[in-house]
Amino acid sequence: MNTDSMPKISFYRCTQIVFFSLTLIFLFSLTGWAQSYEVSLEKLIKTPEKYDKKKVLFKSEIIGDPLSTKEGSWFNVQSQNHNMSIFLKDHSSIDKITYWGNYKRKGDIVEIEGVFYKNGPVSNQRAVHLISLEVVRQGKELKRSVCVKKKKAALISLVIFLTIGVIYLIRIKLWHKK
Amino acid sequence: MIISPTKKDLSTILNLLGRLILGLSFFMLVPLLVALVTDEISPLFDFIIGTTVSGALGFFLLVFFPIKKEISWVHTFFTVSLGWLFFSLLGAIPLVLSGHFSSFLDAWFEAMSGFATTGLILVQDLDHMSFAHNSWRHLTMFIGGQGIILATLSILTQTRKVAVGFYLGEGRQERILPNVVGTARFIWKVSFVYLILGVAAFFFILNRIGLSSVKSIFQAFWLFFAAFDTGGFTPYKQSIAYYHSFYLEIATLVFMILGAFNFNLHFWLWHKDKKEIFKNFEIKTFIFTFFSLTLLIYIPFLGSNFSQLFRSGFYQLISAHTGCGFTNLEEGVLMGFPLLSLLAVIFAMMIGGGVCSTTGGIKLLRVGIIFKTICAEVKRWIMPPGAVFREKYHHLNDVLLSNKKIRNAFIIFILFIITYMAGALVAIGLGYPATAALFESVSATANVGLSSGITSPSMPSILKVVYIVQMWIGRLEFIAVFVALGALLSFFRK
Repeated sequence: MNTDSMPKISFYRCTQIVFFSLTLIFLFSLTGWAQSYEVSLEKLIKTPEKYDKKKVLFKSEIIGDPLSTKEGSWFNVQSQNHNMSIFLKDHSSIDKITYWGNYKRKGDIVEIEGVFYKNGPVSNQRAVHLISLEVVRQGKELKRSVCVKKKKAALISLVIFLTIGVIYLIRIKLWHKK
Repeated sequence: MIISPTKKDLSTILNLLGRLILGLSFFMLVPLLVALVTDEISPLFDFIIGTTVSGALGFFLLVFFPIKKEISWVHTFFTVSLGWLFFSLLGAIPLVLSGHFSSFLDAWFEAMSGFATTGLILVQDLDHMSFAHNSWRHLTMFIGGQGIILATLSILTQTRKVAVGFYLGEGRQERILPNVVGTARFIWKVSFVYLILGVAAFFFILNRIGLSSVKSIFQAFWLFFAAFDTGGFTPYKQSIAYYHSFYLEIATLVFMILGAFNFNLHFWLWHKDKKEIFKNFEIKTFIFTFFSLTLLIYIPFLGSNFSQLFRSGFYQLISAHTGCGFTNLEEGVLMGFPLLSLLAVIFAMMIGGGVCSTTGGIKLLRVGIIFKTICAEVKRWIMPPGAVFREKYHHLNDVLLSNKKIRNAFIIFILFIITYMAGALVAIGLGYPATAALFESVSATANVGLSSGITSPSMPSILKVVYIVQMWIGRLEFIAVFVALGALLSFFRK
């Protein structure tokens, strides 16, 4: 085979290709490193090893109250009957939250990005350390009406209670007279 | 000869039951008032229904089933057994109306868990529950822990024999004062002093971490009921882990331990000899079992820092040993423990706290007696033939280790072990892993409330019923239930 007919690749071009490839690899791995895993709370709780010290992204409802300790602030979120603690050093993200879920309120639905720790640096607690928080859907006041059946049941049971109570009192009086 | 109950006996039992149910109806006025104060309209109706249905049933039993016989121990044991079933069934009414339970069975489970001071939960969306329903959930633990029967007899009962029967039927083996009504009143006095101290401490901590004053005061009461009565309910699904407060964890530890102490010991420390705490047999047994189990739980955690040791091991161990069931760990962390540590927690749950306390389980005194009996037997073998040998222990006074005491301790011990195993076998048969099944069965029977994750609304109904029965007989320590069942069987055989 005649090697003279093949185009020659100069050393300079070779260096260019290697440098370009390395840059691409670095950029891709950087993207991978910076990438957040979109997970459900259930997955996070059931397979904590998989996400330990990794960036995670999930949506959930804010519940309860903001809590402050000497290490920083905490709040708790809930999604599909699973709960997770969120830790943050900077209190400012909490100010974005309008509705905290309780009996009378549906809490804000938020998208949380943070680093998940199986055994966290703060008091060894399993938690997500917040990077950013966005309110996806604002919560609301819950209107809890009383159904008619419940009102009727309450009335009927009250009447029965009073009737039997009066019968009992009459019997007691008669017994005392005897 | 077994005394078979007659229709007159049943009438007497139902009359006594009616009185207790009226007491329960009275307690339901508390969450009703909470609903009024906090402007929770739907829960208000739930508790109107709960109170009036219970009240009507109580009056009905009083009107139609008069006392026809002199009250004996069989009557009181029967009433206690039925009482716990009826309290849980009636207590479930407002819970099921709340809409937080998928069926009446789930609400009944929750109510039984409350009255038996267990703490296993089937409630859904707990974080959105009303103040009134949460007040009721926690009050059931206070009623069950202090003993609704104890409460009723301290107020209503005049005859000593009836009072003693109720007292023993609730699984309380020792009287503190010669008069059992006096004992009941002393237990209430102790509880109210601790209530004031506990609520003040919890309020201060909760308020400091950022809860509003209203929430702090409510949750202070709830956490006190759950800690002191070793119940383990909390208003949030994450249990104590919700609060992220080291001080709250310390405060709950203190009240868990106080609740797990024998009330006799409280009396002794308050009114007699303060040095008793250093001599008491139950305390010595507690120290021995606690340190042995601490070693066991920490072997897999060697090399960890203080925070990890405290949060992962110490808190769960105390919670298990006192039968409270609080946890400061997030969901799923506990079952991620190494097997050796899990076994330590299971053993701690099996043992429980002091007799005449609000805890469940085999109890420290019985474990101590069994251990001492084994040691005495070994000593007997190595002594010269014909040597006279008597073993004693110090529990308030010097007590001779008699055959009767040994027999009683072994009977209850064996019954607990059989029940622990039976519940575990049912869960294994339904496809759950063995360790988780044993953990949950022990937790239910010993009225602890720590969960391996089996207890959930989606678990099979048969398992829910099994755990309800375990919580019931575990709380009453078998005998009252067996006496009632035996009497009932002989009634139907006639």
